[in-house]
Amino acid sequence: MEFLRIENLTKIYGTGENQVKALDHISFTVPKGQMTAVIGASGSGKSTLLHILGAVDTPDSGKVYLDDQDVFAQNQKNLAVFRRRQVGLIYQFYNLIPVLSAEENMTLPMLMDGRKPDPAQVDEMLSLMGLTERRKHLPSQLSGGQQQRVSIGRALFTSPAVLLADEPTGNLDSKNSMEIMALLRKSNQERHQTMLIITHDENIALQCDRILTLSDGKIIHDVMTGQGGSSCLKNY
Amino acid sequence: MFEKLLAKKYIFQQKRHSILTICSIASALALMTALFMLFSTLLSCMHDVIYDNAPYHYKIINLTKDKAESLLNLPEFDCNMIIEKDYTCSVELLLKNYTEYDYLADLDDYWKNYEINPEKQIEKNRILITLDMKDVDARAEFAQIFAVFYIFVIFLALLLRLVIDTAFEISSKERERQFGVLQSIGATSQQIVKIITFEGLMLSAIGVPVGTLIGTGIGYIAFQAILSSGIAEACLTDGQESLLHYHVNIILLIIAMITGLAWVLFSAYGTGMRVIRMTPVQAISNRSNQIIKVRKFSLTGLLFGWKGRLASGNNHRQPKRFIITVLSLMLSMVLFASTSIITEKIGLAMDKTLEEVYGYVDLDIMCSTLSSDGADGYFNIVRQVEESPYFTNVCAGINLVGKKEDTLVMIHYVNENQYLQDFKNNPPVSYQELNQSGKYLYASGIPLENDVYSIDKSISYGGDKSGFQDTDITYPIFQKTGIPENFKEYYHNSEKYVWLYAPVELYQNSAKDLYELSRYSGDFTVMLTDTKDHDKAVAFLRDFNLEYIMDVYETHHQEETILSAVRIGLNFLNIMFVLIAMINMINIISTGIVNRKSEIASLQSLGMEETQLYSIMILECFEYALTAGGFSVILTEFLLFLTGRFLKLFEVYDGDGSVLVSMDGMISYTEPLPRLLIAIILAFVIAFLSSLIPLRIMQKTPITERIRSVD
Repeated sequence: MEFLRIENLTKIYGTGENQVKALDHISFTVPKGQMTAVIGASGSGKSTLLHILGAVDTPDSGKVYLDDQDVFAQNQKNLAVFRRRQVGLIYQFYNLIPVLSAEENMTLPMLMDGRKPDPAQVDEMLSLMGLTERRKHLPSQLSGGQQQRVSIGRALFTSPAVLLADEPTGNLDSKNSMEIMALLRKSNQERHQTMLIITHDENIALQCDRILTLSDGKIIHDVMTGQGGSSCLKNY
Repeated sequence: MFEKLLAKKYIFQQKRHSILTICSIASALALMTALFMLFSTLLSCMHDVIYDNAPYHYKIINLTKDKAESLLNLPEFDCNMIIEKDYTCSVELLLKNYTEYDYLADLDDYWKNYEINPEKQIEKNRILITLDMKDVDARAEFAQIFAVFYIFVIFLALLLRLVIDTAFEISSKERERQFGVLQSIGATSQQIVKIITFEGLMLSAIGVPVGTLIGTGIGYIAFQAILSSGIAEACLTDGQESLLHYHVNIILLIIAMITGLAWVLFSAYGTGMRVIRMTPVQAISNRSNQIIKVRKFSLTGLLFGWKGRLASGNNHRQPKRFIITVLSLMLSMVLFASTSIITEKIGLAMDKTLEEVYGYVDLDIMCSTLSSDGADGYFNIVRQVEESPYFTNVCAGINLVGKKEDTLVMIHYVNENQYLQDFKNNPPVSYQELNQSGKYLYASGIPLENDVYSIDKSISYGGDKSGFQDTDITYPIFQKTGIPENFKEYYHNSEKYVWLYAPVELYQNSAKDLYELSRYSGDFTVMLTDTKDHDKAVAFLRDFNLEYIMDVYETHHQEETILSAVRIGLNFLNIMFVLIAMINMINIISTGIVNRKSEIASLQSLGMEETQLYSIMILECFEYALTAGGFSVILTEFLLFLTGRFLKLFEVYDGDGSVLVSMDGMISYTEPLPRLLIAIILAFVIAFLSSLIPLRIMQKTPITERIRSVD
């Protein structure tokens, strides 16, 4: 059953001769709970796609439906609410707030939503991320792997419907990369979350249920891996 | 050199930043120069006025003409002989060069060679020697004056450096990525620092001279404003006004320029060093390696939850800057609140003292006659004064003091104005009624048994009373009694007394004959009809050859003028501090927003609404304003306490040490609070605008671009 539906999504940067089509009328659907890798060369439109799906950027044309709800039909205020409730964003460079501790960073989207984090849930998430001992540490006092785990914890804390990760292991060594992927996979399986992961790492992509390949703003390959279903190749 | 080339390119390509930096340098220099020029003008004016009054370092007096002429060639001095009013001669000496000696204290033998007794014949003009820095003590004294001034200047300069510093930081922050790229393609750290330093040097080539020029102009305007208070006319003798001129001290001007240039280079160098502390990758990816220290506890966080915690954390990322901004804000708030209060209180204290010393404040001139024509002469003068167009509210009275056994008897014959004034327009009987009765009003004193009172001793004040001495005089007393204003304050000692009031006509009609006074003096006070005619009015009074003329108006005018000049000076200082504080705050807050461009975008990508973002900004500004405001209240209250101690100097004591004029109650510790509240609100509004404007501009850029911090 399709959970995320993208229809004719187009994003153009610049004007006239400098015009660049970051996304060129792309359409695809993602069923609930699927873990999808998005790969492609630099400038192929991966990050633009992710940002539009996360509602931090707007398309020039096309629609994004999440659970049959038109995401961009909402006003700015509701889009912000959508971002903090429905989407979890993980960046390559973590984008943690340097003046807040690991615990505060993790619970920030819930605080923004005016909700009080459940201490047991906080403890559980910290434990899941292996950060119990580091909960009061500032980002500058954490290693790269730990910072990324805080970032993942933040993305997962509100139990969003969709988790979007922009090269989550791009800044980490292989050991940390494996740990992060294991965390994401575990969350995907346990919470049945839909995930889109941008990566350059073939090993990471192969751990996902499906691989979308982008080139010049278009999907050129759509492959189901052996991870979550039957392997098939859809050519565009 | 590619560093110079790049510096030039950056200056011209980033016009907005270049203009902001030039403006910051110019404004910092302008404020410093204005202060330097006002200081040099103050010293110069002091010097000229003192020189005009006493144009010598030493003066040899009581000389014969021959002796004086023989001293005109003293090798160490420029000498000038003058003939005094008593026809003795004096020689005024100006030291040609700096000397290690005090010619009065140290060189007895020197003067003895010229047969001069230094103790009796030499006057020393210490202030002029100090201002000319002509001897060791003078240099030490001048150094002390300059040290006090310089401490203030250093503090000011530190605040000003922050202004320049933040301007550079804003400009370089925008280019961190470019510097990262330059480093990644082979530019050394030194070359990056050089680029920024060259840029600073080039920008100061415009900012420093422009600032110096503007500062000289501001100083001139401030000086003219102080002069416009009329302080010269009030405090100097005729003709000395021309000695007060604006003085541009070239040395101080150069010191200001060098200090400004040094600050610019330090700021540019410091910014360069900060930029190169980042690795090229960090610079390109906009990831600083700066370790942020965040306080564990913040009141704002406690009160406003996660928003407060974020706001407080943001404010304390650079504690030094936060402290300096709060400090400069606090000083401007304190000055804003205390300037008016302090000058107002000193003015009130002076008024109160005048009131108590002279009796009233609603008078301009107080006179005492010295008439050999007896009472007729006095009444004649009073009549002419009353008829003159220059005066209004002429209050006249004759005081007679007598003794009966151990009781002091005061008889006060007054005209209607004086009578009404003494009883504050609410006498127990009207003046006309009293006059028609021919009786005396028993004002206060020992209890009376009958409606009469008599004294049998001579009157001790008011002239010759030979016919009165042994006569037992009985005064018919009005049945009503009354106590004149301030009566008890004048006579609160243990002596018994009787105070009688009578209309001045009674004295003219009967008392004069009764007392047979042959010589008489009396007082009267007047108010000026038009203060513009003050000089003519005083001249009119002088023609009467009075015993004394107490020009209260002139004293008041001088007091007002001095206060006005002080107020102008303090306001100028206040404006300077407000400007520095505002520039600092605007720079720091807007830099803070620019520096957090990517972070703010991250917060928005996590779902932060614009209103939440503005709430955090409001809390940040709130913390700035409230912290500065809190400390301002403490400092202002402390200053008020000191002012209270200072006002004690104006208290007047009588002979037995008891307080006649008390300054208690003049200080209200709640009085500055509304003014401080206004200052806090003002600071908050400016702070909020400083964050709102860059934030609004920033919002026009998509979140994704801001996260990547694309220049």
